[in-house]
Amino acid sequence: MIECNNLTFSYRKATPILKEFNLTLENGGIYGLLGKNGAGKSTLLYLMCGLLTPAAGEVLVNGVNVRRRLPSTLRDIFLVPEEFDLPSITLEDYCRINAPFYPDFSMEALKRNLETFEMPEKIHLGYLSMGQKKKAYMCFALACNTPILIMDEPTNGLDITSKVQFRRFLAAQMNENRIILISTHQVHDVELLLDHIVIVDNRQLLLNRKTSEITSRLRFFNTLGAPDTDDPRLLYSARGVGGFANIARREDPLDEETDLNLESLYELCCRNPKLVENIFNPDNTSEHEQLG
Amino acid sequence: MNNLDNFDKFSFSRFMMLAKREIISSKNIFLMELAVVAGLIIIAEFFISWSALPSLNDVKEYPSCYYSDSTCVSIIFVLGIWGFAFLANIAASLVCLKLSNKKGRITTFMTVGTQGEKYLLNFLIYDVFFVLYFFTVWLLVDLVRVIYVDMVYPFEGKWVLFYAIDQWNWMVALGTIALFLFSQAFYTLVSAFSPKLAFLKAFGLSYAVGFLLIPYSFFCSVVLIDKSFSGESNVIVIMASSVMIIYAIAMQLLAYYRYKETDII
Repeated sequence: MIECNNLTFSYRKATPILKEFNLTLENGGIYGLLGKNGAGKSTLLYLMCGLLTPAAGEVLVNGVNVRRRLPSTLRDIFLVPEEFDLPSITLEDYCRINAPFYPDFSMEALKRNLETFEMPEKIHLGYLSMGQKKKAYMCFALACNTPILIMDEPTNGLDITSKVQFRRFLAAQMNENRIILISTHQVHDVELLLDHIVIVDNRQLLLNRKTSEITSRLRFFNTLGAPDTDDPRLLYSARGVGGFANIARREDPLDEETDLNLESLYELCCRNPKLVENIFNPDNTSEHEQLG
Repeated sequence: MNNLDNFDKFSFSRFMMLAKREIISSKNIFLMELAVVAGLIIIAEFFISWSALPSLNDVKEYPSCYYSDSTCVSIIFVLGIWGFAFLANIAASLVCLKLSNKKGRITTFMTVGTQGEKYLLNFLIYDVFFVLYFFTVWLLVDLVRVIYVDMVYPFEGKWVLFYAIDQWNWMVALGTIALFLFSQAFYTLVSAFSPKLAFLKAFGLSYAVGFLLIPYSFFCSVVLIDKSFSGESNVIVIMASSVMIIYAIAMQLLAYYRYKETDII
């Protein structure tokens, strides 16, 4: 479990990016962290890994302050940053020198992951393209079987086929003891994969809900023409390619449950955060978790 | 490994695993460094030998070879110490090199190990492994010189190793170690605060201040060659060495604290 308690962070003299920020991520979920550029997504990821020191508050991983950078905490976390360096050695050597630090590393899982990405087992990391390096690194990250896997923009640099493969192999690796946190702008790449949505914007934590809860309260649908704006259940409508993407309240449980449209949900949260809060937390609208 | 309290303390086996990981993942750089060290030693010995050794045609005219003179051997010895100190300072300035960019900082701080293990890792590689390598290569190269000199001037050549052992005394050892620790701690400290081009910065700073070069020059050039101290001089060497070692410890602690508290941005 990851707990961010009253977290405050700012870069030098700048305005705080996070202020008294609270967030809890439970085991057994694939969390999607969404937000605009500069909203503090990567900062939050780094704080969760103990790579930054908060001005106030703390991040606890299984009850231990992650900023202490203890080996027992570090072996439970694997971070796949947006940009990284890999040594110019073979993948086999890379595994030989890095796998011993992760007690649950599985060579079978690595082979399986490589197979999913249609990559050979015998590769030299120095001769790979950026996208291939990313795939190899993610294969290793998943094979380490750490309880917490954090990925910053994992689909950047991947081709279309690889994005499909990425979704497939990530879903296959999930279990109830694991937290996978994915920060991304490319919502379509991951929307079918996520079971929790965390949206940050304008220094606020706008949403932290299970996708099942979201789809139980909201209905996502497309129309060719403009929807009936007089419908009180209609919350959001935006013209897109080939029609309108809409969100409405799902008041009747008998209404058909729809697939989540992350882009529309994100827009709705940014445009009307109070309304979203009211939908998911009608009894306590004043408690707004702030992002700086 | 199962006990978390023990897992979070210094572990020698993990330390060695980290060293193996570091050496394998940076093997090209290390091989290049080893080649450069060997090359520099060979070049230094070659020029010293060349300038000191008369040509084969002049053997009869120069029956007494300069090179058998203990002063000449001392020069090799002093140059060896100088060369080693230079390399050790380059190594010290590389201690925090990986912290010079964000990717390196992420990789370093996400590595499973205590902060102490990760910090000491570089010293294991450069202070233990490189020291052994440096002196091994130096002695091998000098052995070649001795064999060559013996061929030209039988029984005149001297192997620096034996000469060093003959001439060694505790004052020389203490002073050398103190200077080494002091200068290395200084270069490490500069590296911890400003990892990019740390060697040039530390060298420039020490040159400007003169507090490293002047005593080094004095110690190496005068004391080692002339071996002119005894009695009261010993007290001075002991005091100066103690001060340098205390400063070295303080600088290393400061560098480690800086390393430990560094954030990725």
